[in-house]
Amino acid sequence: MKAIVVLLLATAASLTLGLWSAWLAVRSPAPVDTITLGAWQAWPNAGTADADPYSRARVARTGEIPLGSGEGLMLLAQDDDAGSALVASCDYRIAGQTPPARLWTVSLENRDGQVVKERDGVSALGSDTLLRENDGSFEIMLSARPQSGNWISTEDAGRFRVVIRLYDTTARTGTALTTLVMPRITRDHCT
Amino acid sequence: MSTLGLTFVREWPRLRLGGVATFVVGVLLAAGAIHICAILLVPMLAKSDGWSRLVPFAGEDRFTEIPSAAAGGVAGLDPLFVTGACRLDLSDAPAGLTVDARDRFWSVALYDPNGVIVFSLNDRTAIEGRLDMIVVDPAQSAKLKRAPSEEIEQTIVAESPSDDLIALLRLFAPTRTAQEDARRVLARAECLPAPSVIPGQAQGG
Repeated sequence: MKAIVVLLLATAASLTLGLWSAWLAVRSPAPVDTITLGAWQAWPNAGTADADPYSRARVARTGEIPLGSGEGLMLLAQDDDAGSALVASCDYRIAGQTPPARLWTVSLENRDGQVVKERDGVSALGSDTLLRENDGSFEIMLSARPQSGNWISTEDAGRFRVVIRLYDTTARTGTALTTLVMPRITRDHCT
Repeated sequence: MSTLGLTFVREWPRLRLGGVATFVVGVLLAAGAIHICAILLVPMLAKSDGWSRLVPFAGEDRFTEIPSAAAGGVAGLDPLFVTGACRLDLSDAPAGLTVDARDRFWSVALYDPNGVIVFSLNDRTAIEGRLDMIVVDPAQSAKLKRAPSEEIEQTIVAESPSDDLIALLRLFAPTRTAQEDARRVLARAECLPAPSVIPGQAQGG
């Protein structure tokens, strides 16, 4: 009797531990096979033949359609630089520079990967229409209220993520990935 | 597990610490095995992976636009892009892709059913905004190397290990005007079987 109880206990414990650790590894955004740059995370191996089993599982689960190495690289931030979650009740400043790319876009998505909509379309900005400083750096305000300069509306966003997609970039080559410079995300004020 | 469990029970009074250690080690080993199985099984069991989400929107012999996620399309695509998909079947003949788009960024990627991108390029590779590309499987590639046809001298040849592919064409279209323009490009882009590039197959079909 005792043996059965112990066996059941062991089975339950192993199942819980095994499945929970597997879920932790493949949830979105996943901690495995990731490159972290400040608040930003990237998965350069996603969708390539050298993706490891964790990457494959993660991509299959999130259903993401990664960019090919000849296309570009996606980077995602779900927290600000201080490590707190991005929420629509706060204003944020994305400032600095991106790695070299012919074109890049910033967009906001919710935690399911759905693009955040605002009244006039989507909450997104392309590098072609971005206002920059003389040294090429930029500042983008994320706020629910209209701002001067570069502004992306966070109206109705709830908890959101910021996605930067670099197109035609040299950032994907192995050595470049460790020295990438990404913009900082700082919290401005909250309501 | 059962032997370990029984040992544990029998020696409980004398070897309490050893028994607990056996239990913990046993659980950890089993958990590790379950963890690995789960990770390996996810890609096989996942029904919402990228490939299955693209299939309903991929056109046959032409590119069709993937609607935005809000309109019931595919989440995780760049909202500033117009994206088109076309399903390729290489089992009978190679597939030919033609894209003609100037003054904008665009890119093409080929996905296989495992979600692996077998080939990708952007408009920098295109000559004056025009891309001519054929996609072949390994057998067709071998035939092509043996008897190179003049027809494909200016063409980019992509080899895919899989016969079943989805070609994704992404066109940068940040404004409404650019979107309309991108839809025209998408409608004009070709995605057709190209049996004539392999000399031996030209007569057959």
